[in-house]
Amino acid sequence: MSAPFTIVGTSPSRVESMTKLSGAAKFAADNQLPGMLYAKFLHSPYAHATITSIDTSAALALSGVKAVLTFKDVSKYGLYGASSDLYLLTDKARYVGDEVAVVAATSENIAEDALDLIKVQYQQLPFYLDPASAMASGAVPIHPEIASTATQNIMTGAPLSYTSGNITTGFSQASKTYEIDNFVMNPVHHSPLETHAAVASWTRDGLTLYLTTVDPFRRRRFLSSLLGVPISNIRVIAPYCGSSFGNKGSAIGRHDPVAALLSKATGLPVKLQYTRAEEQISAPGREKATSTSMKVGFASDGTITACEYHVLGDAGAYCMGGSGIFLNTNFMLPYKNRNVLFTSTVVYTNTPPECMFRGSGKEVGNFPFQIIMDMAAEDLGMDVLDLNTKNYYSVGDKFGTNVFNTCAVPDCVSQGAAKIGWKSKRVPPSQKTGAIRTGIGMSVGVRNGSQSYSDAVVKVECDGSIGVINGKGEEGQGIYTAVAMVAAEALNANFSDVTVSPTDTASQPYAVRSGGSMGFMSNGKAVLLACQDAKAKILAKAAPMLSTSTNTVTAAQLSMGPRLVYVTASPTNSIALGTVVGADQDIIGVGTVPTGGFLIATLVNFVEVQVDTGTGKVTVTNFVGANDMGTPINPSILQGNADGGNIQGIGTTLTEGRIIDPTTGAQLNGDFLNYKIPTIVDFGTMDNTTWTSSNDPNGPYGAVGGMESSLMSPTPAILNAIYNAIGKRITEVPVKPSVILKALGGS
Amino acid sequence: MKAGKISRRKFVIGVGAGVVVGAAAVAGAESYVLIKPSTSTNTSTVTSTVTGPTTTVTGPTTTKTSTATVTGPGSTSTVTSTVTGPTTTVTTTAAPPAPQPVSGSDVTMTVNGQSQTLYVESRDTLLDTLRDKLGLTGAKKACDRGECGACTVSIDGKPYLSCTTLAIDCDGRDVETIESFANNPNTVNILNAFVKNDAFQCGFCTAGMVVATKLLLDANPHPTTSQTKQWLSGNLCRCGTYNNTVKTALALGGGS
Repeated sequence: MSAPFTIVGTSPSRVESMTKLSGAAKFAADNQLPGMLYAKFLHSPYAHATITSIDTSAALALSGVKAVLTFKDVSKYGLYGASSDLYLLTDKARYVGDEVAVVAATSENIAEDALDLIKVQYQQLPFYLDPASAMASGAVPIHPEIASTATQNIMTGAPLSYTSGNITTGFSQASKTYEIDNFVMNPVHHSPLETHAAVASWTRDGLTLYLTTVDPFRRRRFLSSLLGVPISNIRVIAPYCGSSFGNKGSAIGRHDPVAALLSKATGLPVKLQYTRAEEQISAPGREKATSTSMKVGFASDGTITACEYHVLGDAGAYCMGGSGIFLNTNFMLPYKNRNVLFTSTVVYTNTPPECMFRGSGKEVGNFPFQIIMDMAAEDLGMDVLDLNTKNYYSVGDKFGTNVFNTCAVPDCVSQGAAKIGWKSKRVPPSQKTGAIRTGIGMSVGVRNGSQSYSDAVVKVECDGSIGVINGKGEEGQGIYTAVAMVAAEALNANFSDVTVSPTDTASQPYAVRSGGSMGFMSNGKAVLLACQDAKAKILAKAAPMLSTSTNTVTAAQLSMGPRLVYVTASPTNSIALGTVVGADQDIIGVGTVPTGGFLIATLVNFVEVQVDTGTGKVTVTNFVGANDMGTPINPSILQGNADGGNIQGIGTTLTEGRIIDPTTGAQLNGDFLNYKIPTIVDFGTMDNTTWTSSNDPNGPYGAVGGMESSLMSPTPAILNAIYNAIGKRITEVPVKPSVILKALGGS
Repeated sequence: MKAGKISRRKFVIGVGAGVVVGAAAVAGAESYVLIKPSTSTNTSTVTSTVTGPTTTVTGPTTTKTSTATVTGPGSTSTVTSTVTGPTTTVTTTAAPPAPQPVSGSDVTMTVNGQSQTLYVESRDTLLDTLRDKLGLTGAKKACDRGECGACTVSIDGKPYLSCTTLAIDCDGRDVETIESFANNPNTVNILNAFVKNDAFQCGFCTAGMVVATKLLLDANPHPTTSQTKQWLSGNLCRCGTYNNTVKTALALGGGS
């Protein structure tokens, strides 16, 4: 970090603070339009069934009901979604909760009443709740309309594989090989507090959607092809999203196109908001339903020589994250060893739909891998810190033409270890006694990714204030604040002089979604480029204004200050920024970031646990993160985001997990009482204040995105800490008390 | 999903009784029975018994200790498929009798200092009434069954989950929502402390957190870390902003 920064690296309050704190921020479902109707879905009670008849006449006759849609009404709308496996409504239910009809009525109560009046006749089919049974010979195709899946229900028709180097050679160089036969990740859910919601208004002016999404721009493309209207005729307004973590970020969901069709059918605005049960079950969310076998070879000095692993994944009834999610298990890139073979077999089942959750699948590989690192370190007599440090690329290393700019694993490992007191606390499990045992563990999580196409416009007004026009919505990640800080830094402006326009596709250029840790890396950079463009225009226009007949100054000799342009060598020779812009004019700058680049985010977690060997309960008592995401733009927001991902990691490791009734396929815990996300009392102390200051020149002021990494490490760190406490390797998450008790069974 | 969803109509006729019991426990401030479970399908039969406030305020207790029954989707399904071969079972989900008319009544309550008289159906929750009839959308509908705290409002100075409080039970009562906080010198400092400590991310749980924190400080002006956590344990935040929320409450209480 060479350049001295004025704003970057400080922690001003979020720009939307008071809007949110005062209750004024409008989330999708907060919008009330005149004459608005309320819509409700009817869900299938069967896991796999064909609808043989559906009678909506009684529902339509109920006073207040304005429209009922079934597959018959939308049959002309084809398959969509990231995997093209979803119809708007369906004549074939593929999981308990599949959406088979939708009602619009003058009140939510009446819409619910009308659902009971729809008569549906189902012909049940055999159903499959796990990949093994769905792949079995003679299994009925879940998606017969997708020919490639017709045998064995494998999503891509056949397993996918990835190879690098030569694993045969690699394993021949190994002196020791460690493996995990079957690492099981039971499905968890993003569980954002805001459920999916859409308010649709389809008028002669086009389709307007108030939508909870972190992908408003790309979403229009899917809606356009579904609904047969030009993209430019679809306006998505999505300033605030009540968090997503992936489940509102892709080509997913039926709520918005269906709300749009209901609005078209009735000529009135329509609101469709998922209930909590619908969010937990029907909103895409299932992820990490996988079983993985992994084998890693090590030379006697701890150098990794080869890695082979095979993933069997459950796509659910619809795989809305796309098949790429399991390919993303190629998490091995940051490791120096390049002898890798992995395969992924992703299978449709009659369980709730799947989509990516904060990590895009890379954790599927990282979880067992980081446990194997812990196993190897113990057996080889090494400290696992050294084993990790030894095997990672680090800052300055090259991968092809790409450079690892932000992979400060050694720094993160040593700083985190010092903070938690690793050396003194890392006592081997053989020395632990008593009913309550403590343990300490760690894990590295490195995410590789890229930037993705994004535009931004910066508008300098005639009073010197600055507007940032960038379509990246605010979902809690702090993007409005971060891009405002970038603009203030780039234009040497007061932070308070910058205003960020709320997300609205009608007035903003394309911005990439939140996902793949691309958001700030792409949008922040686009804003920086737009500011540089504006600044060049401002200085060029100011130069003649600051020149005299005897002293000509050029743009290169000028600088900007708060609402000011001045001669760098003679700061008193200045002119008001507003004067340069000119009354009732503005100066705009445009920035575009192309797709590409090489993004590395590194988060290293250290965890202390307490295991009650009598009850099997595991408590995380202390958590330390040491992280490298390049230049920390706003350390306070980064700390909050890392805390949040780590707390989700504690929940998804210990208390969460879907419960599916094996006799019906119904999910039993579509609620917060029984799907237990962490409360404020469910963990101990936490420290995410350690940030290295690597610098990625591709990112805005050297920063990279990467908060997905905050969910890559907590799980293996906790599992390694549990091993350190009780001497048992746990290879299944979530780790319910019964798993601990079973592991302790023999001892 | 049908069986998993507690519709307002079923909620009122007693199917949701388990949830209501849980909610009463969560609200904590009063011992009362909102709904008397009834075997009647006549939705106009609503029995609300409010036994009055107790003197002990324990704050919003964690929902994790409640014992509501699991009501998963399809749990009423009576036909089990088999994976061993094709079935030819044809099942009809029969439509129940048509919904009956729903009763309602005028209620008068004070909302953010202003008296409001409005007609509510007996099945309308306070949350829906605030949001849909009064345009006060600060309180959020995140679970709609008393499990998350995002809809927390103050009623007569005590924390209530407005999603499991019927509007018809609020006649004569004093309701305060987040919308009153910004313009009130007694509460704006709470908002400022949340801002200063970055104690929110997406903002969806925030109204509930702020209202609950305000009522914590009313009941206990100098809370400890553990008292703060206990009080806020019924307010879920999926963004995981908990550490900064505790910092905020401690700062407001003069602690560190």
